[in-house]
Order: sequence, then C-alpha cells, then structure tokens
Amino acid sequence: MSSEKELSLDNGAVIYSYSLRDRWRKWCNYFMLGCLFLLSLIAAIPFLFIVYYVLAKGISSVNWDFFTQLPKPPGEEGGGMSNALIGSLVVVGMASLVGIPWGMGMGVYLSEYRATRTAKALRFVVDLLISAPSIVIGIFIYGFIVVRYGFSSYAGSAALLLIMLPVVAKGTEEILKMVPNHIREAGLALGIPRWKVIVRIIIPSVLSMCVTVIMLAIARIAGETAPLLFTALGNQYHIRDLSEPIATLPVQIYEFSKSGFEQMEKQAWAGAMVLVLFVFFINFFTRMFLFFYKKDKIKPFQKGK
Amino acid sequence: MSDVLVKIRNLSASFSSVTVLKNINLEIPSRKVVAFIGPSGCGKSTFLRCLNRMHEEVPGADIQGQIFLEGQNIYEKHIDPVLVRRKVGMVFQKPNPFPGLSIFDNVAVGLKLMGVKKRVLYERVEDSLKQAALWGEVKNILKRQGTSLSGGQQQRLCIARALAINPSVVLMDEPTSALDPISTARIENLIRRLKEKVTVIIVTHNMQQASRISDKTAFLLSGELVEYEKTSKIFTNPSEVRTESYITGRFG
Amino acid sequence: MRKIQNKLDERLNYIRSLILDMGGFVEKTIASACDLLLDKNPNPNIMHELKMREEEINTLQLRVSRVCFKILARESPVAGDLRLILAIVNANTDLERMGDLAFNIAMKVESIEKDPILDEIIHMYESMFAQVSKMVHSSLDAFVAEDERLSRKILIQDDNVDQIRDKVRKGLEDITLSHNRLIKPCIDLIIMAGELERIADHATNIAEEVIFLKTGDDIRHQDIPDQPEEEYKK
Repeated sequence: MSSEKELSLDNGAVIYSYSLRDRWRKWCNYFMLGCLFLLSLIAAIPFLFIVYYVLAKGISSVNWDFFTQLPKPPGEEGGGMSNALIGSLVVVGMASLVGIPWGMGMGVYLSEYRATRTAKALRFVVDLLISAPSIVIGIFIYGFIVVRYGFSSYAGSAALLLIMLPVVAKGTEEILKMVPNHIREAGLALGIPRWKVIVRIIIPSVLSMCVTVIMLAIARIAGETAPLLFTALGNQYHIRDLSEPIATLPVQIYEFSKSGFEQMEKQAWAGAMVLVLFVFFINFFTRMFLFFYKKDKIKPFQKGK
Repeated sequence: MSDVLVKIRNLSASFSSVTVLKNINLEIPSRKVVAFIGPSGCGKSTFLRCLNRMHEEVPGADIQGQIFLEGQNIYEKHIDPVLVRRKVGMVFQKPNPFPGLSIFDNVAVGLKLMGVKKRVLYERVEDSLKQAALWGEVKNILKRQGTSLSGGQQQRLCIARALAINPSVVLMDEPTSALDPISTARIENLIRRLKEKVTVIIVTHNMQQASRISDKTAFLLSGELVEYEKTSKIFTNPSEVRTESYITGRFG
Repeated sequence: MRKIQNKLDERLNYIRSLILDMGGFVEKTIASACDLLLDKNPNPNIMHELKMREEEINTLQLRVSRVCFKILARESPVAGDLRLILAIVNANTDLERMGDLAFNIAMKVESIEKDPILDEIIHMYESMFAQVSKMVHSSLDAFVAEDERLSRKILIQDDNVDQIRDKVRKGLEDITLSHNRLIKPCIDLIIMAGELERIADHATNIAEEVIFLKTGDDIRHQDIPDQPEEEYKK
C-alpha cells in the first residue's frame, strides 16, 4: 500500500524536486568536472603547440630531396637527410628484430612462470631497466662496446635493444596477465604441454594487443637521441658497413639544430617533423589495427572478472 | 556393467600445508554419472583437479595417496601428467572457449597437437560436436569465433572440446552454474547421453541437478567423504545425519 | 555445522498440526457413533454436530493437500522432508476416509432397531469400538512423535480387530438364521463391522507411513520386490 502511494503523482513532486542541498551538490559536481576538464586542456596545449610548431617550421623543407639526398656541407642550399633516415631504419630495425622476440619471450616467462623465484628477480630487473634514464644505457654501451670496438651501428642497435627489451617484456607480461587463468587450465586439461598452450592458445588470443606493445616500443626507440650519441655517433654519408658509425634521425636533428647555419636548422625542423609523423602514424595504425581486431579477441577478458 | 574405472586410495591433498582433502577412499564405476556435492570450500573442486593432475599446477599444492585410472596409478613417478589429461577431460565452471580460435579450431586444437591427421580431423571434430549436441547449431558457422556463441553453446563447445580427444572420464566443475535453465536442461540431457560412452564426474551446488542426473552421489564436508551412495538413496534416505541436514538445507 | 533457520520447518509443523486437528475430529466422530449405538448420548443435536464435523474434516483435508502441493512445488524437499511430505499426503487421505467411514457408521446406528437378542453382539461392538479408537489415537500419537515402536504395536492390534470382526460376523450370521425379523439390523451391523475394520486398516496405514517416515523402508506388501534403478530412468 505505502509503496503504491510513494509512486503516486502527489508524492512524485516531492521526490523529483531539488532541495537546497541537492542543488548545492549538483553545482559541486559541475565545478569539479570543470576543474578536471581545464587541467586536461592545459596539459594538451603544449602538445598541440609542439605539433603545430614542428609542422609549421618543417613543412617548407620537406621535399623529394630531403628523402633522397645526402646533407650538403654547411652554408650550401638544398640537400637532404637520406643517410639519417636509412640509418634510423637500420638501427631501429636491427634492435627490433632481436628485441621483439627476445622481449616477448621474457614477457611470456614473467607471466606464465610468475611464481618462480627467477621470475620474481627478473621482474625486478625489468622494472629497474624500464626506469633507467636512456643516457645511462648509452654510457653503459659506450663503456662496454664502443670503447673496445669503436662507434658502430651495432653499438647503436645494442643501446636501443636495451631500452626496448624491458618495454616489450613488461608490456607482454601485462597483456598475458589479462588472459584468465582458466583459459590456460582448459588448455592444460586437454593434455597439451604447457609451452604449446602458451604458443598455440594464449599468444594467439592476445596477438592484437601484443602488436600494440611492439608498435609502441618501436615508436619509443625511434625517437631516442641520447644513447645513440655515444654509440652510433653519426655519419655524413650512407654506410657501407654496419660496423661503421651510422647517422640516425634524432642525432642528426640534434646536431643540425645546434650548427648555427640557417639551412641546417631548417633541415633539422624537417627531420623533426618526419620523426613526429612517423611516431604518430605508428600510433595511428596500431589503433586502426586494434579497432578491426578487437571485436572478437579481447572482449572475453573484459567481460569476465 | 559395474566395473570400477577410477579407484581412489587414501587421497589427501593440501595447498601450502592447508589440508583440503583428508584421506578419501572411493571407487567410481565405469559409464556412470557421479555427482559430488558439499558446501563451498569442502574440497570438491580440488578433488576433481586431483583426478587429472591439475591440482599440482597450483604453486604450493601437495598430494598424497593413489588414484588408479583403469588400474594404473596416475601418480606414479614415470607417468606424464600430460598423458593423464588426455584420458581425463575437464569442463570448467565458466564457459571458456579459447579466445581467438574459431569454433572448429577450438575442438580441433587438442587433436592437432596430438598429431591427428588432417584427413580425419574434420570427421573427429564433427563427431565431437555431434556428441555435444552442438553440431546442428554450428555446422554452418564453424569459422566463427568460439567466443561469439551464447553461454550455453559455449559450454557445449567446451564439452565437445573435451570429448574430442576421446577421454574415458570427463570431469565437470559446476558446468551449469553460469547458465540459464534451458541451457542447463540441455547440458543435463547431454550428460545423461554421454554416459553411454564416458564416465562423468560432476561437481555441483545444485542439489536438484545432482539428484536428476547422477547415478551415485558423494557428499564431501570440510575435506572428508561423509557419504557415497546411490543417488536415490542419498536423496530419499541418507544414512548420515550430516548429509541429511545439508541436502535439506538445514546447515551450510 | 551452522544451523540455518528454516521456513520449511515452520510449514511442516503447520501441516502436522492440521493433521492432528483432523485426527481429533475423526476420534470424536468414532466416539459419537459408539455412544449412539449404546444409547449413551442424550444430545439431541448430535446429528447436526456430526454433519458439521464431517465438513470440517473435508475442509482440513483440502487445506493440507494444498499446502503439501505448494511445498512440493516450491521447496523441492528431499530426504527426511520428502518422506514427511509423502507421509502427510497419505495420512491425509487416510484420515479423510476414516472420517467418512465413522460418519457412515453413525448414520446407520440411528436406524438400527434395538432388540434384546442383539444386546450380546452390541456388547462385542463396544470393545471393537474401543480397540479401533485406541488404534486411531495411537496412530496419531505415533505420527506426531515419529514413534516407530508404537507404530509396530498398531500393526499387531489390527489383527485383533480383524478377529473381533470375524467373531461378530459369525454371531450375526447365526442370529439371521434363527430370527428372520432381525435380518435388516443384522445386515446393517455386519456392514458396520466391515466399516469399523476399515477404519482400523487406515490407522494401520498411518502407522506404516510413520515407519516409512522414520526409516525410509516401505513395509507395505513386502513380497513385491523393488524395481531396479533402470526402470526409473525410462
């Protein structure tokens, strides 16, 4: 009886009208929401400025020559950064070629054998390595490789590899942790050996997310400058041998921008723009890839507990 | 008819020195449905997981005693758990088809990894899906993701997956607790038919389900086997007071 | 073990009390029939009272069966609860039949012509009535207390009643042969004896229900073997 009454219209007016307290609460809510929005906006502004600045400054110097020509000596017009572009591709490519399978392997170990003592120790090391400043890694490779064998693309790749490994490993581990345990058990219960369960069932189910991790790791190392300064050094020309010093985009941007010649500064801006766009496109394609593959594969983990 | 398929002798199990099963002794007849009932945490699931050596996959797990499957002690040193699990299939509480694999591959993956030839693979998959009463519903969508099916269909897919490798025992850990009554009824019918070929050991919290589908029922209470009897006896006239108070809902 | 407050127990106690009420009415009706036969009851309203009681019993029977129906549908009782419900359902029918029979007897007693020749026989009826109402009473006691020993005693008493019935019948047959004018009351008395014996049978049924309730053994017609499990599955 009483519940019927509460639902009747006369009392409805009471329920649906705001008291002073309710009004105050409502405004509080709007205020806090506004604060958060403003803070996010302020954080986004510098980013937008960077993109705008790099595009505005760089666009005039990006042309066919930029991608195909070697840099001209200081003071001369024209020229390009083809050596640095190719150099970056080589160094990043070599690091990725080794780093992706290696890092994923580590990630699999960390996730699938997470309770073992070695895994716990390894996880600690990986966490440390992730937070290590990249310049420290550069110095380490310098002392370890460059001092003995000289500057080379190998040394550059090794430095990037060291940066990439923990990122891929940690990313893979986190993704694999999202796979519910009962999926593993279902595999094991079918009489499939553990490593086959991992390779044939667990990894395929999270492949699309692994791709994200890999892409982000590549984007991360593509922009590294500091470790390459003491390892790959730089080169005015195309390399003929991987054991020579090699030009890379970030290092070349760094050197050109402090050269004092207007032409070289322009080239540096162009290089910066290409780098930013490269990273942007990697991110963009990753998102697209995920968008198309998400529907089936990731859903079951988000739905469950 | 009444030959013993699984013989359990003095089975005790623990997790990091907390005992969950205390000296269990029982025999499971071939081609019957045996239900395990008991309050949460009484060790039913652990018991099931001992039967296909999944218990040891959990860190800190320990097990004592013997389990004879078709006369062979599966806990003998030289026995590979992987081979044991090919004889003892398992169906889990939550339907868990392998994500990212098609309906076909979900059933086929176990066979493929066992080295079944491509020629017979399709036949074996079709056969398993038919046994799991799912073939009619999925025969035209075999390429779709296993996870795109409804909950009840997913669970039947999991049963088909378990049946594909031709086990002699299928363990089911509350297979219908996440399903609606219709899907539950389908799976119960399926279980009744399955016992023509395999022995089904099922853990359930649903008393009615245990009484409907099982031939024998075992009541576990804090790790002890209290009573193991014909289902009709347990549900009409249990000999133990503890069994009676549990199944009539007077303690728990 | 943690005890759980159970709604089912309350309901079961409720129908148990209904069964007891019914039993009380049945006993009273039997007593009234006996009093009428022995001309002990000067109560002029007795017929009306009997009629009311009969209706009361029917109402109770309906109530018990409806509650049992709902319990079966909603609580899905098992084990002891299930046996209790089955016992109650059966006892319910038995009690209603007993009420009907007792009422019939009382109706017949009304119309029986009294004759000194019949006095001896009617005296035998007194002891038969006493036996039967004792059986009814103890069957209800046994039911409430779930007393297996008392129930087994009732099973033996049933044989006594059968013997008295046979004796009475023999006596009445002899009277009909010698006194033609008494044929009508004799037939009525013979039928009455049969009905009384039937009441005793129903009391025996209740005692058997108690044994089933208590032990889970069905002791009726033990010469028929239990069907194998497979038959249930078909």
